[in-house]
Amino acid sequence: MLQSEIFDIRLHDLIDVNQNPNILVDACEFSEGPIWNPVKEYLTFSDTRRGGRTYRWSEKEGFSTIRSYTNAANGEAYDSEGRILLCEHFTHRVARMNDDTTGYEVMASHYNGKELNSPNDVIVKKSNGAIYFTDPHFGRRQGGCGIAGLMPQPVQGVYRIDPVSKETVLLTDEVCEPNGLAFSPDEKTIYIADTEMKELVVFDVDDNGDFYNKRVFPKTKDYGCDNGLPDGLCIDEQGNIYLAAQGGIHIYTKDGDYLGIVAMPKTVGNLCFGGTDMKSLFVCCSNMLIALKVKIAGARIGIGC
Amino acid sequence: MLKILEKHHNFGELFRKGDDREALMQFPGTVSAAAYSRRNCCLAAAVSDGRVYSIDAKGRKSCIRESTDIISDIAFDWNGRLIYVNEAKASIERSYRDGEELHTVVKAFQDRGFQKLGGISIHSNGMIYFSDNCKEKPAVYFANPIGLTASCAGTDAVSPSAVCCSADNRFLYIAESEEGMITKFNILDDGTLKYKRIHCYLAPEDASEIRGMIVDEKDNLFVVTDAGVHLYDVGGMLLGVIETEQKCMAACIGGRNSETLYIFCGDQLYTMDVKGR
Repeated sequence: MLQSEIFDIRLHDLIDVNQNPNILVDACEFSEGPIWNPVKEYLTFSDTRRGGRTYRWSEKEGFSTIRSYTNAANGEAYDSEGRILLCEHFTHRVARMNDDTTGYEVMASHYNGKELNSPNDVIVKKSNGAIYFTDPHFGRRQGGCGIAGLMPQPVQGVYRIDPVSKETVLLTDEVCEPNGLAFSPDEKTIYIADTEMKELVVFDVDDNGDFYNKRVFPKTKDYGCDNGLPDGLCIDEQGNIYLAAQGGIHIYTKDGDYLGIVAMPKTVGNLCFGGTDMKSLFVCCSNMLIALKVKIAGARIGIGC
Repeated sequence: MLKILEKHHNFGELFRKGDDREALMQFPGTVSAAAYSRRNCCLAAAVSDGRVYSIDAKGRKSCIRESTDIISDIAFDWNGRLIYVNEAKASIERSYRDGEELHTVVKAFQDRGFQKLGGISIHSNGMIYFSDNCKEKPAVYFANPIGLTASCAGTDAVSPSAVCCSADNRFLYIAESEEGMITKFNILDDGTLKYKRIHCYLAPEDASEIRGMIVDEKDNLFVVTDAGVHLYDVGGMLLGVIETEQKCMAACIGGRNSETLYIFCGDQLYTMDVKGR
């Protein structure tokens, strides 16, 4: 049975905290970047260790490795054409490939003539296909899963890539350590996890896709036996936010009310909605992939929208 | 004729658009390897007539060596000596002067002879990096040109063929033809390789034998395949392709200001002006 800390009874409207977590896979080293393909009904996710691997899981086919030597790819996202965007720790760049792993191409590797720090997580704006990614320093840290070295960029920024011209634009450097990111269902708001500050940073998004009106949600509380820090996040169709952070999944309403924490057995790196009804929450939990049932379906993003 | 396919607008920073070219000259046989000398001439090793030719700045061709074995790659070391990959003898050789006898640099590692030598690249510290794509243990080695010894640089490459040091000599690019990709490694202080990552994939239709790689001073990578020369920027992004009618075999950058790209395809030589060096 799940453990949880409830700050607001509205948490019960979102998830049954008495359910047992369903461990689907426990053969990873550190799972990350889960993305659901609603057309083919499978989950693709990455392992940032062992040089990087891309895994696939489905109800019918089970678990398999579809790609090795992924340059320690971390965050992933589908675009509307079903291609996968991926953030690579070893090469410090954002790449794109087809869903069957063919057609690999680099989308962004440099900004202002210098290498990116270490793109970490990526999302695609479904209304125009623009690619948004965070560029913290994790892939250059000593002992991390990338290649240790100095940070080439003067800031840890959030960027946008034009999917056709591949032009890369810095949108903000106002997030201390940007990590996971997600759009609200109407794409007028973006949520960015700030790992160092242990909080969610929120911006409004204008018609050009630029950010304005920064505000911050309440800091994530330390919880459980395993620390973790604000990392990946996903949004349900009502706009509630599910954030991987200290000890498990921290849940906020779209207005920033902190509803509670659902504990997980190990460090949670990232999570996404999936399943036929989009009411499964797939959680990358260190060496495991865990599925939880939720009451509100996830917002539909990427392929099939 | 060459055909230029621009894949990214940055390609225009290196080449003029739509710059179809006619062949500059023809050779008696297919050219397998090329390198540019500090004496301002381009050397071309031709397979079928067993000769090495020199093409001077005025485009004049002369034979500087006859009756060579099959040569899969050539490069100049930092003393201006020509280093050969002798494919027939599976050895690395060098000559001190044009036409002089070749001397073996290395032909074995730990008493085991090399089997399928591929490309060669000279590091700024003088070490000669080369690949041996033998079935049992494919690996990349580096040879010390002074002690004439070979060391294993790394065995992470699955099917190494062409190799190329980056412009700043911190990295080594390795072509893995069977995988259709170029990998990139850090060169450590002891000469060994670490941190394998995939720099770029060739499109499946172009994933033929990768015959050579060169970099310019900005680390743009020129990859020679059957179809032509594929140009990737320092981040691994495909900028464009220079397609050749005949099978493309070798390329090198030279000229007085290193602003000429020499492309050898079949028995033809083409040249193109490169912006930058």
